Amino acid sequence: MFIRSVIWFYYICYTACEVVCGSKIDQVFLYYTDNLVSSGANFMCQVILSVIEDLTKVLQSMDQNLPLKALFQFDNSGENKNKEVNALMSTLIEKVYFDEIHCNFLVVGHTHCSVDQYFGVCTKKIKAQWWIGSPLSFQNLLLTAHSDPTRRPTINRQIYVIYDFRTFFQPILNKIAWCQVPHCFKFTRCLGKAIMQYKMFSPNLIWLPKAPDTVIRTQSELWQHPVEKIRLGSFCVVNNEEELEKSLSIYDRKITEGVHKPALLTIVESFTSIRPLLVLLEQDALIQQQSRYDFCRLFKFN
Amino acid sequence: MTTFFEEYLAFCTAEQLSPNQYAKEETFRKVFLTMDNEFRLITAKGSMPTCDICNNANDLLRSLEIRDQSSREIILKFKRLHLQQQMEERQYMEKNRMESRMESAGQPDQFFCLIDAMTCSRGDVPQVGGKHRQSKSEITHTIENRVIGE
Repeated sequence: MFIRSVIWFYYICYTACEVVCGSKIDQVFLYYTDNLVSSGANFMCQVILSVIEDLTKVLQSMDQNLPLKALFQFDNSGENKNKEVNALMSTLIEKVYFDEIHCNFLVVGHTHCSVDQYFGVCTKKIKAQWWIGSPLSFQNLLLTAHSDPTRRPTINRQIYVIYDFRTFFQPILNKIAWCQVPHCFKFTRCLGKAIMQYKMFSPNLIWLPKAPDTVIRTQSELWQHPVEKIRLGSFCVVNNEEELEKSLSIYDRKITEGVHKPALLTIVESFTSIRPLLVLLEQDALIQQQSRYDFCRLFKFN
Repeated sequence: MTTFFEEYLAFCTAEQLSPNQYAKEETFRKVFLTMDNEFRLITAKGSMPTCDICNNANDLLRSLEIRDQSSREIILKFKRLHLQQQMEERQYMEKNRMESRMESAGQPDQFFCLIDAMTCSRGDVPQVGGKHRQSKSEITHTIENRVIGE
């Protein structure tokens, strides 16, 4: 049994969740799996459910209830941003666990956050060991990695069972092209059905697709507003072309064409000449992002 | 290249090789260049999951095709705007985190959850007598799904 545990324990994948809820809860929940569990959408869905489950227990011990609004923050990998996680969020909305769920994603390549510092401490501790004899000692190692007791995880457990969410959601998934590009998603309820809206970046005020002007009274009216593709305008990686032009002091192209300020004209001319290159730059980045996203989704480990 | 050659010299000296046993700089350079496809520096594009927009913008700035100063300024502003966007996303995250501390009538209004997984290799625990690190492609013994019921 001892030998078996050593082999089994060779490769660990762990996930930290920083949870803030009310004035009393600002904690880290730590979940890990052994090397027999593949990561991916199924694992992420299971982690989300575990967080909700554990948070509910912690809140119950304080005579509080789970709030109806949830804000999830992820990095921008394909493991987190996928159809299955969106379907899980929609299910939580339809089953009335929450009224509103927001999923926000940091910009690719700029996702270093507070939890990474936590991981750094854990990694240092793991690497400093000559030998970790059993799963329990590993669990204890993660628990005591931080010298400051207030920063230690309050939940520290292994996820043994991961449900097959991917197969479960397969028949009901909507295919939405380019859904990996926006950074903010909102899930709400309308006539008992979950609705997903998106924003390219958080400062944008309008959620897309816009809600129709008329009041939706039946579900058949609701089905008339499906989204099959996320519209990507030019320069969507910096929000839009207008934003870029504003940063170049080009506030209105029509007015600028009539003005003969040499400095401004130089900028406009340069921008016109370099625009195709910038468009290529953006397309190339989006294609790279897409291929990495597909790779993450298909590959067993992230 | 010079730094690599200095490393190579230091290695040969440490191994106590006689001067006729190790290559001169010119030979080292030739061999190094023939191995161009076999190694990749850690700062190279694709070595780390870095930002594609920043990488592409940096490539464009390094490119000799862009000689015009005003064009370079535009690329720099494009990159700055992109960095500003990521900063705003971060500020939004902090705002959400702070707002989640609010309570009304003793009940929390909302909860904030930041989920981040660590790269598997960081959880590679020490193992006596075995190869310590495994690449992703070497791991073939995972169970995709544990279907426990339908």
